[in-house]
Amino acid sequence: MWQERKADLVATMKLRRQSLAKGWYKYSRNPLSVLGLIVLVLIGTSAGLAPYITPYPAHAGAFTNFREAGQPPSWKHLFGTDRIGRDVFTRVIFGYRFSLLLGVVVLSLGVAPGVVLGLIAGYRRGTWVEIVIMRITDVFLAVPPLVLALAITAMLTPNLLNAMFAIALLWWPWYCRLVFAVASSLRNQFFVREAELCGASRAHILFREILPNCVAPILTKMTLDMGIVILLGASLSFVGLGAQPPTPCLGTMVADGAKRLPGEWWSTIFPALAIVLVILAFNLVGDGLRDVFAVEEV
Amino acid sequence: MKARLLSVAVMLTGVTLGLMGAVENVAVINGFPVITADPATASDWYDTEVMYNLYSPLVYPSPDGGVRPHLAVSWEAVGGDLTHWRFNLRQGVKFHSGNTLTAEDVAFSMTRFITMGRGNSGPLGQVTAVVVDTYTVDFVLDKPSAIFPETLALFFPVEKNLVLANIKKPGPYGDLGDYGEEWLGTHDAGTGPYMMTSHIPGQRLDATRFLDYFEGWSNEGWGPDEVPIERLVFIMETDYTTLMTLLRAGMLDLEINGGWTLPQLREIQEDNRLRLSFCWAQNVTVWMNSKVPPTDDEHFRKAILYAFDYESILGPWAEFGNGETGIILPNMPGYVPIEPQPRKQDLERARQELALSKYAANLRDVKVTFHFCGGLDFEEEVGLQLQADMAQLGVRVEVAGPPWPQYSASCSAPETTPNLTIFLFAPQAFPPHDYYLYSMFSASGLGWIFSAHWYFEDPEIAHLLDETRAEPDPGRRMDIYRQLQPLIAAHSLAFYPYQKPTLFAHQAYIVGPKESIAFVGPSENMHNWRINLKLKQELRG
Amino acid sequence: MAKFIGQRLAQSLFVLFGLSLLIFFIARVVPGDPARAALGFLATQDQVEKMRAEMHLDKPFVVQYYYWFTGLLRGDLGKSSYTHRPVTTDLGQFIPATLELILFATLISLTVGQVTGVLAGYFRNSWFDGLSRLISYLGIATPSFVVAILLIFVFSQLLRLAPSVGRLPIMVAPPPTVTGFMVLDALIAGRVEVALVALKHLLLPAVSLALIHIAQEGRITRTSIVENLDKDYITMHKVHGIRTSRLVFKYLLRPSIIPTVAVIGLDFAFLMSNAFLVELVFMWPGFARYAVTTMLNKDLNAMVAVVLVIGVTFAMVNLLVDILITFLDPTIRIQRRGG
Repeated sequence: MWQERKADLVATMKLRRQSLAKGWYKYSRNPLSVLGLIVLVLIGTSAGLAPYITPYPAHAGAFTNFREAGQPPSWKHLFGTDRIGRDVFTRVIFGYRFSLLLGVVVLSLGVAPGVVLGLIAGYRRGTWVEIVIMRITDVFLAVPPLVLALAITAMLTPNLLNAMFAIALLWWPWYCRLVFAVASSLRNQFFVREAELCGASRAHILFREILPNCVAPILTKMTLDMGIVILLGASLSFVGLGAQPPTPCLGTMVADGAKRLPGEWWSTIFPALAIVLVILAFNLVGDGLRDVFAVEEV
Repeated sequence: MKARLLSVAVMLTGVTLGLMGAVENVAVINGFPVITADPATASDWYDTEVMYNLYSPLVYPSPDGGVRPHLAVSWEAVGGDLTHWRFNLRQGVKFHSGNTLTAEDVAFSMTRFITMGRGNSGPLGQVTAVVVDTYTVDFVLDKPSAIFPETLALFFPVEKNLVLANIKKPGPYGDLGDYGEEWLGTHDAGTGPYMMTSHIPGQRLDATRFLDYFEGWSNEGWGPDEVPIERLVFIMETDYTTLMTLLRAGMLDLEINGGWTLPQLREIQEDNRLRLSFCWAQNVTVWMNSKVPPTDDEHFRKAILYAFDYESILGPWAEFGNGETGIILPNMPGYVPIEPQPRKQDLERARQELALSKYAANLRDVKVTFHFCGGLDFEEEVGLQLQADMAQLGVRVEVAGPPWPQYSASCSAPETTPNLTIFLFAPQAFPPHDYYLYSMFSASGLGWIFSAHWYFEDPEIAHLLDETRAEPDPGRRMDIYRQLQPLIAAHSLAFYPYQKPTLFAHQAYIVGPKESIAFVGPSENMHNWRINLKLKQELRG
Repeated sequence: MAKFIGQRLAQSLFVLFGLSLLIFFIARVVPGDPARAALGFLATQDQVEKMRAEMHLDKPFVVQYYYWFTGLLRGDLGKSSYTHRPVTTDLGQFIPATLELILFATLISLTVGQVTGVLAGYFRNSWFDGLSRLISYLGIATPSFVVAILLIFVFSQLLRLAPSVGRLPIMVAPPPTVTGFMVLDALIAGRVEVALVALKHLLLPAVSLALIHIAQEGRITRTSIVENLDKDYITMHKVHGIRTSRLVFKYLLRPSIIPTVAVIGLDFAFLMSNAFLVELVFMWPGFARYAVTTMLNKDLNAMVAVVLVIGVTFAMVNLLVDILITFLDPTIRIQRRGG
């Protein structure tokens, strides 16, 4: 018995490994996606190791040196210094930390409720449950996320946590809709019907039968959304509603430096390019995943 | 193409060209968004600047800190209790409509001002206006005030019949509808040196010279080529890169907000076609909330006072007039320097004070919150400087910049006010000494952001402050103001990083202001400026 | 068809009602003192209390909503505490400027997007296709406010090719307002020079907004062209020797119109929200800048109105697009008729 199960397990593992290898083969055929992945890994590692690899880690915190303010790029300060005399390169790397943190927190807060509600609504299509859930979803999707995010954060004390909270609050409806579409198309499939006939619990049907079929589109969407969420976070901090000083925040840095264009261009152009790079990387990886999973529309 | 466009522009705006034939007699002035041009609702200093051009106040600020006759030629307290004031009006003052100003207009304007209860009317309290005869008006106050005549430097009479003819009904004031508020937003009913010709709120205000202005347009004291400015164009631009381009191209004549960056100021200084003038400064004030820990401890507050690196924050700004300031501004009469002297960081002293405070044992657990108005770089810089300074003493300072409404709302009660809050106080209420002292340190002052230190316990200070409003003699009042400053400073309720001069940047051919007063409004009254068209022709023709 | 439109309208109304509740809730439950904001600096506590009562801020949420809703039915959205004017007046002043910007941006993204899409599709896998792919990736990954800042830096500040602030130069008096569109109004007033200057002012902000959509529409058109290029009927036409231009315009472009129209609705909403930051950067005196400013100033009435206006526009554009697609695509038309 035990032997049998072990063999079973090994077989599954082998299958998984094979499909993983197949997936990677598919993924690696697109050089742009591979490039995106490399950039992403680079950004991730440097952000993670920021205190050890940046030249002036103190410049990310409580630090002023007005005498060194507004220095152009040099070997000493690769991206120059800002109006407080802080190293822009250091702050860009630290800025990635907060951008990535924002993306991860928002998606982990927003995806779970969206998925659960979407599953329920999809499975119970045609009942009042679906109507209530999906109409509330409609209300949240009735205006672009930036508009509501601005409205909410403008009302709260501006800080990173509230910005995350506001964006997360707006993010579940997208996943709700996505999962709803998949779930409602699956609910009449044989394997769902079969499980129902066997007397499986509703939770089992939702989470063990239907959910696995939604994983691919969810994952793909999450990767693509990372870029969008980071963009949204940057937009909020651009108008001063994100993390507070001296926290290095890419959007804030762009807004701050923009007032000093064209003279001190380095304090805005480099953070701006940094934002573009990270979003681009997430998009490329997301596209790659889309090809691997053969997901049509997310 | 460019030249053609410009000529088209000039043609279209329908201006008569100046005497020189080629250059135009106009001043393009950049002020902040003028939100309301109605004297009853105008409140911010941007509004006041426009008020002084379109309207005339009842009394006019003078350089010694007091007021002098203007629309009113004389005034006196009737009876001994300072609640009843009689004002005699100047005769023959013409409104822009050509009608003559009478006591009817003044009484109507005061009733309107008080009834609407907005703008600068707060400090006046409840005032009842009574017409005595054509040129005499009585004001009866709800509580005695020795400084009542001075407060009227921000009271601008409107023409009664013109306003009544343009009332919009229905409105919140019954038969009086909206009291003419909407109409006055885009029209004027004043007696000032300039007449509004058009106003697009938030974008642009055009005005033209009022030839019958009651003070006349004498050239006495001005150079031979310096003539009155015929036309004013107030633009409302906040991007200083654009403003710099306009200024250098000679398309902007005067900038009165002074939001320049350092490199820009240097550029202006080096350009011999441009000038910088300094009339009034703003007081950068950091309140220390005396009601929440750890700033409830006087020694802790003193430690902050001495820990702050005053020299570092000034940096290269010192050469543009940023420098030491106290409870009132250094260029105001009666200024008394306060601690720390000399104005520099003294970490040793700060450590001593910290050791005396009740938080000495557990500094690690102490957190000081510093809030600034989101978007204001120089305020943020003060916070970051203090953060770095206090870190050296092992004290954590948390800096945050919420948007203005939130920021100011948090200052409505002691418990919600952060430890440290930074504000920029321009001399914008009159009399300015009363504004910086009584309004900020008396329990019955303006409250809110004006006294976010929340300390009113010292009976001596309270008594002297009340004295200032009961003392009719300006000289003796000034003495009390002098006496008050060190007393207040002793409690360390605020630290003053520096004064921030509002530098007017202007073309060399725009000459002024003739009379420089440490108060917002009169210095920007364009009756106080002239244009040298010959020089303009030479420099820009 | 009428039934379909009716259904969609009812649905939209319901969503808008929900949206108004949501935004009203967001605006009212949080701390802050809008009454103080409305009064200005030197207001006394008494005056603030009076104002609070006037603004119904002392009443429960439901009562406040009732006042607001009955006002809405009368066409009264309340007074803005920021501009001291009725919100409807403000909207009337600011919306045309944004509409002009968005329409111009749409025009740019449609034409440029179509042209690059067709070229990239027709010459697929050429260097042009690669380049357009690269640019489209960049276009999608660059936030519009970053595009705006980069454009200002390069084209306005370094090259001095186009202005970066406002709708007209300061010394040019605006033409009398007829449509609210600066270019049109200038033409109506017969001032061609002014129209040209206004157009120049439109250029950079519109391109900032359009870039991301150029990228998207280009890709959609390309995909559609590539799909159809392989179809038998095209090969047939090719064999028959039909001119390339005719081939492209008559047979290849048409199928791509449907997906293009479909994304326009979504685009419009995103243009509006991207305009939020772009107008801020370009000091464009429009609706979006008004929206951000009033939100940051806790101007409750303006904020609620602004969000609703966006909701209404979004709903209307989507409805319009649905109807249009029904007309354009015979398969959907038949489906709807049947169902």
